[in-house]
Amino acid sequence: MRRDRSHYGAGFGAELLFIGGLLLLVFGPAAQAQTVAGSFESVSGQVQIQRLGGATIGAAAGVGVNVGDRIVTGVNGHAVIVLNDQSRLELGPSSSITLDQFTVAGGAGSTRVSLFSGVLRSLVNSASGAARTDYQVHTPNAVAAVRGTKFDIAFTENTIRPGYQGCEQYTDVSVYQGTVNLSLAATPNGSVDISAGYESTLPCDHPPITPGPLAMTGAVSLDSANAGGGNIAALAPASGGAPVPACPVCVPMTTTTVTTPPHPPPPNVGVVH
Amino acid sequence: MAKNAISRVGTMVAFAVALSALAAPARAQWFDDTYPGFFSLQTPGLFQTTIFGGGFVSDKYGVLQEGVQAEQSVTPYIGFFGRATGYQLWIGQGYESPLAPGSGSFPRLNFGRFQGGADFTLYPGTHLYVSGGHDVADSDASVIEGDFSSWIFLHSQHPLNGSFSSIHDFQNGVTSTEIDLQTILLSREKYMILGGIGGAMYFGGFLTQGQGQGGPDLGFYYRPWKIGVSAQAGYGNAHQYGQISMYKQFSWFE
Repeated sequence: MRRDRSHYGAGFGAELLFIGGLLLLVFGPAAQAQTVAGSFESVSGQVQIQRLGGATIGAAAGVGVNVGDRIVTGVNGHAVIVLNDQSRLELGPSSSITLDQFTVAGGAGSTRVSLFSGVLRSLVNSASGAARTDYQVHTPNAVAAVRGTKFDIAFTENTIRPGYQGCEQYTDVSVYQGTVNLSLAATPNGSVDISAGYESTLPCDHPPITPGPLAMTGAVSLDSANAGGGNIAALAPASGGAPVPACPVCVPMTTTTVTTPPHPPPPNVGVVH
Repeated sequence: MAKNAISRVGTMVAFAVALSALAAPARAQWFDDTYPGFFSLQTPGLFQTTIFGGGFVSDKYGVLQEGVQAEQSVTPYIGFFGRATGYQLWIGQGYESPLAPGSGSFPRLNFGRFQGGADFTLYPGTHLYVSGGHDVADSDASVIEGDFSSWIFLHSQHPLNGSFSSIHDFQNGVTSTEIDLQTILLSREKYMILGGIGGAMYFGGFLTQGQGQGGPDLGFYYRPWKIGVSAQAGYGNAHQYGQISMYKQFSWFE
């Protein structure tokens, strides 16, 4: 009898485990999808949320963002998401991201975002007293890893840029505060640290280029994307546009060209009477 | 002998043609890679306006200038621009007008300069402006101007800019050339600090020999407002001098 009971008990336990596992398999992803990671602070233009279950809804201020959501902006779309750890994600025009991971445990946070196209500005909150936040943005060809910083990351493909022969895929990172480590998605070799005030480009599967000053190297940023009328693709020459060299690159240049027309007259201004 | 020479020349020509034929696709590829979209209109178009002002002072004279420049992109590599500048020139006591030597002494001259021309982007970061124009009011000169500016080592902490701006005045026959070499000393989220050396050279016309001046310069650019200021001080034929220039840019995509 005891044996029977024991046998019964073991069978019941196994069944419970089995059912529990089944429930986890069936409802696990849904439960994860319903993990609210933050919400939209502001939305303008066309912005859509593709939920993990397949539903697509329009974004609006106050709407929650869950782990697993894919957020897509139109050519004039713009959205600001505030995560629960007070980090801010600002999505530019013609952009697409997925919030892959968002956890906060014991004061330490871990966030992973995938950027498929367009430009994303991140203002990562490194709350005082809290453990360091692990924040990563993945693009198809690069990984940008940061801790406590403000930066833009843009992914552009099917474009050709002068000086990058044979490459049509670029990840640009512009850093405003803190430091970002940019490396190839395939291998961490050859990564570069980009400090505040500088930007770098990772072309195709090549190591990232040595950083240069912001708005000087032709890297796409949220500001340049917004300036381009919301069409990032238009900034690229292969799609009929230009790398807009005049906009970011000639800014300091005009210091010596446009602003030097004074050409004061020759110093030998005639003869003393 | 002559037959051999002709044969040799023929071989060389054939060799050159073959080399040229082989190199043509490579040249075309290089051109496509270096100037993608060269013949296409820039989309979206870019219209830029820059307002600027500044001053120059030395022992012998002083100049104030202010103006506006507008530029419209056509292709990614070519744009057209127009510039209007007003000048107020103060001349030291006892010195003649530099605009028209021999016409007498004037304490102050006012004139405007209207120019138009093209901006060629030779490479990202390298521009060549070519323009022509005419003065009005106290100056009646026609002018032709060429400005060249190039940034190198853009992918480094301290990119280097070399530029020269040369203008020829058909009234007094003088060619003035400003040369500047500067680097970005510091780049931050909102601003950049630039430093370098610069100067000017003057040749021709009523000048019996070349003259010039030069000194260190310092620049500051505030990104959010697109405002830049640069200052230079030094020594030359005009003795001690100092100059400052400021500009603000506006951009519109069409």
